[in-house]
This record gives sequence, structure tokens and C-alpha cells, in this order.
Amino acid sequence: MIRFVLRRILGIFPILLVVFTFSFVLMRVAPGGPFDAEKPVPPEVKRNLELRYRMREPWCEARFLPALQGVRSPDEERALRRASPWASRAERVCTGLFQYGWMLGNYVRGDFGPSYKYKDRSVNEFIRAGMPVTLQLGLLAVTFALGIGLVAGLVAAVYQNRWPDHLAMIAALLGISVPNFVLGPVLILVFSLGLLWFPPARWESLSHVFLPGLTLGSAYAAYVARLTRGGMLEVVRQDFIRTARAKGLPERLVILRHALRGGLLPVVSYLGPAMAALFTGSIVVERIFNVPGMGRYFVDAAINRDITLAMAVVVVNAVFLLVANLVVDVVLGILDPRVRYE
Amino acid sequence: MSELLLQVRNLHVHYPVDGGVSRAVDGVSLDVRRGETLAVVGESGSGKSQTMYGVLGLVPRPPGRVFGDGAYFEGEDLLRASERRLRGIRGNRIAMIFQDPMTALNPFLTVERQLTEVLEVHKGLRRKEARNLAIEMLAKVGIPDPERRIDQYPHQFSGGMRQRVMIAMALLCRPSLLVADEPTTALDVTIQAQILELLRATRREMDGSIILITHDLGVVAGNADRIAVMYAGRVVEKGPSREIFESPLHPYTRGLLASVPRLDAEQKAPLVPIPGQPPDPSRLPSGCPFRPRCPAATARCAQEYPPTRSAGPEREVACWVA
Ligand SMILES: Nc1ncnc2c1ncn2[C@@H]1O[C@H](COP(=O)(O)OP(=O)(O)OP(=O)(O)O)[C@@H](O)[C@H]1O
Ligand SMILES: [Mg+2]
Repeated sequence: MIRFVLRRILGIFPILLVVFTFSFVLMRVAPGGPFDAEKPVPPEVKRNLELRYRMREPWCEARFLPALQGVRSPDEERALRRASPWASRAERVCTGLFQYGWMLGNYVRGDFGPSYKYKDRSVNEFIRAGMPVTLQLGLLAVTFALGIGLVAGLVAAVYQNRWPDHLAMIAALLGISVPNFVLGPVLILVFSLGLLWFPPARWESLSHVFLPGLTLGSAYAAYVARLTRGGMLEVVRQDFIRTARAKGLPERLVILRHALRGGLLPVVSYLGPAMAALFTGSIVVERIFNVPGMGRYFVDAAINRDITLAMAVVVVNAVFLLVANLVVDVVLGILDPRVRYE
Repeated sequence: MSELLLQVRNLHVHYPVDGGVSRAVDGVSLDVRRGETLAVVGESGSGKSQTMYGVLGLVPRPPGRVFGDGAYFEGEDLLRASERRLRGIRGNRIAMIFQDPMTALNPFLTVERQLTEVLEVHKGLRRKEARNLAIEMLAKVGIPDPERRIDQYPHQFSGGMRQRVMIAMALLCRPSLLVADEPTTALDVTIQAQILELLRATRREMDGSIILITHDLGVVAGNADRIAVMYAGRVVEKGPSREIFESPLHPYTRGLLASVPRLDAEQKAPLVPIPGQPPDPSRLPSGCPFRPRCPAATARCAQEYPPTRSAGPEREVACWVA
């Protein structure tokens, strides 16, 4: 088991390398650069910036397109590149490889590099600021999802086709189909502005986390409820449940001891990707409740073509997904003794 | 102390189905005496299992419906007993083992957990005491190295060993009635013989009764004192084992006997399966339900269900022509 976990942890790194490489290539290939700013900067400044962020590599320029080094204006550069497209392409690939190596080296040292957009801040600063917020929010949402979802699903399964079941499943349907940008404002209206129980926005105390956590967790709670119900109903049909009843066990033991483990397997499998999604932040919920989490960085980074920030968010999300899946596999193994670790 | 341990009278188990009702059990009467083995025999779907589920309160209700004139176990009518009372009897006074030990044991729990909980619930034992008794019982049913194996999960046991675990689980509370529902159907032939031998030894030792449910008359021979033959939710013939084998009365019983290889006697006639299929219990034919497959059917058989009549000191049969 420990060996299995260690092996899986080691296995995460090659996957991360693939994710890193893939998102790097996407970022490079996508048209437009971070310094194609609305208001043009003087060519010298732009060139120095590009050198600093390794968008230019003097060695590559000298090797493939020496004329570039003398170029001053974007128009001149464009004309030059059009004149010798193959050399231009080679120069780009060469520069890209250098940049790739540079960023990879930084990542290995845990340094996500400088933000392209906010030139006085590092990507690490953004993540350090946003990640705890997103983690708290995600953790609360997972707690809601599990707390509400498991109980509702269990009740629905035990009272199959009777009113508690119908009630729970209607609630679940609502939870899945009502979008967060509707649910959030409704919760604010009722609980903040109406009942004055919770603050409507900002991020200062635990009570600020409650409504966004509930909003974010509601759809997941609904899924968990449906999966729990389905899983339980599946297990309850099994022969060994009939055996448990034939043994004269009280219904409480039949459900909680004999049926629950098997019934939870689908929920646990679902929790891996669900937790990864929750821990990467939600732009909608963050906007509604004015929460300074990771979600908005992701969107901002993409809009601003802030390559380093966007890549860092992607890689951090990948880490979450991989770790969540590892945790899920371990929990599945604990729940189901037939699972073999190899 | 009455000689009869279990007396089932006119038991019905019905399930609602589209546009009607499925009569899984349609008026079954059975007697089980103390210390005897009663074999309940019939093709798949004839209602053997459902009869026992009806007696033990294991029919899912809803949708199922169970009613009848009574199911008296040690003088108490189980059809009218509370669920709580039934729970106290199930696994304790009446224990059941099932066809497929692969699926009848919980794959998520250790054998220890599944054995000890029976003693905890029925005898109020603490886990430690229960564990010691469970180890003893595992040894008794022939599981080697029980101290170690008790902490394993069912998938770590072979099919035959699993059925032994099931039997150990059933015997923990020393039940006076053991219901073995096709206990050997899922096992290899050699393992079958071992499990049957274990059941025989068990009955000698526990001095209780066994209901042996099977569709295989080969399993019945040498293992049962009396036989009840079921067809389409009813008992069509009843009698001492030897008499049924030697002079079957009902055409269905004769058909069954002709279709199984005999273990105890030389094969006289070639094996012939009964033609056709058993009826769907929600669409029974008029009159005798065996009539469409019966070689001896007459016009009368299509009109009226044959009443059960006595055919000798201990024999009953429900047939117009027998
Ligand atoms: N939930 C249900 N709804 C409708 N019909 C049912 C239900 N459960 C059982 N039945 C009916 O009860 C009939 C008898 O089933 P039962 O399991 O008692 O047969 P059996 O004699 O034990 O056969 P087998 O050898 O296959 O175990 C079946 O034909 C089936 O149609
Ligand atoms: Mg059966």
C-alpha cells in the first residue's frame, strides 16, 4: 500500500511534465503576445522586456536571423520575418526551446516566474494570495456536498419511491439545474439582505465563506445525493444484503454496515474530479461574492495573455487533479478489499 | 413439545406485475418434523425460495404480499409475528444458507465481522467472545487455520470454503431449523459432495431439522427423509423420499426423475428432459398449471385445479390422473 502510494506519487511527475509541455506549446502557438499592448511602448523598452521574459534569445537571433537584432519597430520586424520565413520559424522554435528550458528549470525550483502582465509581481505571489482562499472555499463546498449529499442520498434510497425520496430528488434536480449565478444572488437576497444571517460579500471571516461555499457546493451536493441513492439501491439488491437480513440484523446495521460501503464507491470515484474542480476556484462564485480566489486569475491570465500566470494555474490544477485521484484510489482501496494495489 | 417444528399452511406470496399479479407462491402447505430433512424440489421459478422468504419475512414488502393460514414455527405463527420478533428468529432459531456463496457473503467485510455480528445481535456477546466461538465454528465446518483465516475477506476463500463459511455463520446460534437454498448448485461436483456430507454431519450434531431446497433430485437422494415437489407455486406431491423415488405419482415428479441421472440406482431409462417451460406465475394456465406439458393430461385438467388428496399414509398428490 505504501509502495503503491509512493509509486503513484512518482508517477505524477511525468504527467505534470506532459501537462507543462502541452500548455507551454499551446501558449506559444496561440497568436498574440503579452506585450502587444494597447498603448505601444518604445521599441527599446519592448525589446528589453522581451529579453527579460525570454521571449527573445540573442543566441537564436544571431544564429538564424541576425538582422533581427538591429530591428527597432514591429513593422520592420514583420517585414524582415516575411522576407525569410524559414529562418524566422527556426528562430522562433529556437527561442521557444530556450524559454521552455528556462521555465522548466524555474518550475523545478518551485518558481513560477514573473507575471507578464503585472511586472512587479511574481506568479508565486498571486498563487500564495489566491490559493488559500480557493482552498477554504473549496473545502467548505466539499463539506456541504458530502454532508448534504450523503444524507439526502441515503434517505432517498431508504425511502425509495416515497415522499422523502421524491423530495430529495427534486431538490437534487434543482441543485443541478439552477446555475450558480442565480443561486448565489438568491442566497444573498434571502440570507444576507433578508435574514441578515451572513454577510453578502467580501472575504474577512468564516461567516463570509458560508454563502459562497453553499453556492459552490450545491450542484456537487446534488450529484453526490444522486450517486449515493443510485449506489445504495444497486447494493441493496445484492445477495449479501438478503443474507444480512436473513441473519436477523436490525435494518440500521443492514444499511450502515452492509450496504453503505459498496453504495459509496460511485461517490468516492466522483469526488476525485469534483474536488479538483472545486479547488481550482470558480469564476462565477468568486465574482458574485467578491471572493479573491484563483478562478479570476485564471480568466484574467487567459485574457491578458499572461503566459506564466496561466501556465502556473494549469499546472497547479493538474497537481490537484492528480493528487485528488490518488486519494480517491487509496480510499477506494480502503473501502473495497478486493481492490489490489500493484 | 410438538413433533412438528414448522407447519406452513396455505402460504401465498404475490407480487403485483403489469396488469395482474404474479403468484410466486400459491397456497403452499409444508410440515417439517424435528430432526428430519425435508427436500423441496422443483424447477427454477417454481417458488421454492419465495416460500421460505415468505415464512421468514424476507419478501420485500412492498411490492410483495404474503398471506395464508399460518406458518407455525415452534408453535408461533410467523406470518403474524412482528418484524422485531422475526428478526429475533432469523439467523438465530432459523438460519439460512444460499445458493451462491460468492455473492451471499459481503465482499466488503471480513469473515470475522460477518460471523461475530450474528452472536452480538442474537446472544448479546461481546466481539472478543464472539470471535472465539466463531473460530471454533469455522474449525468445526472444516476450515483449516481458522485463527488466521477469520480475518480474511470472502474473496480470499475458494467457493467450497465460502460455502463452509456460510454454513458456519448459519450454525453459530445453534438453530433448530436450517434452510439450505440450493447450497451446492454453484459448486464443483466434488465440492458438492463435501458440502452435502458436512450438512449431514451438521444435522446429526445439531439435532435440528433441515429444509434442503434444490432443483436437482440427485442431491436429494440419500440426503432427505421426505420430499415436497413444487410446481408453479404449489406443492404437487409430498411423501417419504424413498417412496417418491420408487413410485412417483405426479407426472411432473416422474418427469423430474426421468430427467436427472440417478446416483443411487442404475440408470434404467435414457435421460429425458420435461418438454416445454414452466409457466410464468403471472399468467398461469387454467386448471392444472402442469397441464400444457403433461403427457397424461385429460379434458378435466384444463378446467379445474386438482385438489390435494391423500395417497397413502404419508403421501399427498395434487393430480386428476395420478
Ligand atoms: N420481486 C418479484 N416480482 C415479481 N415476481 C417475482 C419477484 N420475486 C420473485 N418473483 C417470482 O417468483 C417466482 C418464484 O421464484 P423463486 O425464486 O422462489 O423460484 P425458485 O423455485 O427458488 O427458483 P430457483 O431455482 O431459480 O431459485 C419466479 O418465477 C418469479 O417470477
Ligand atoms: Mg431459489
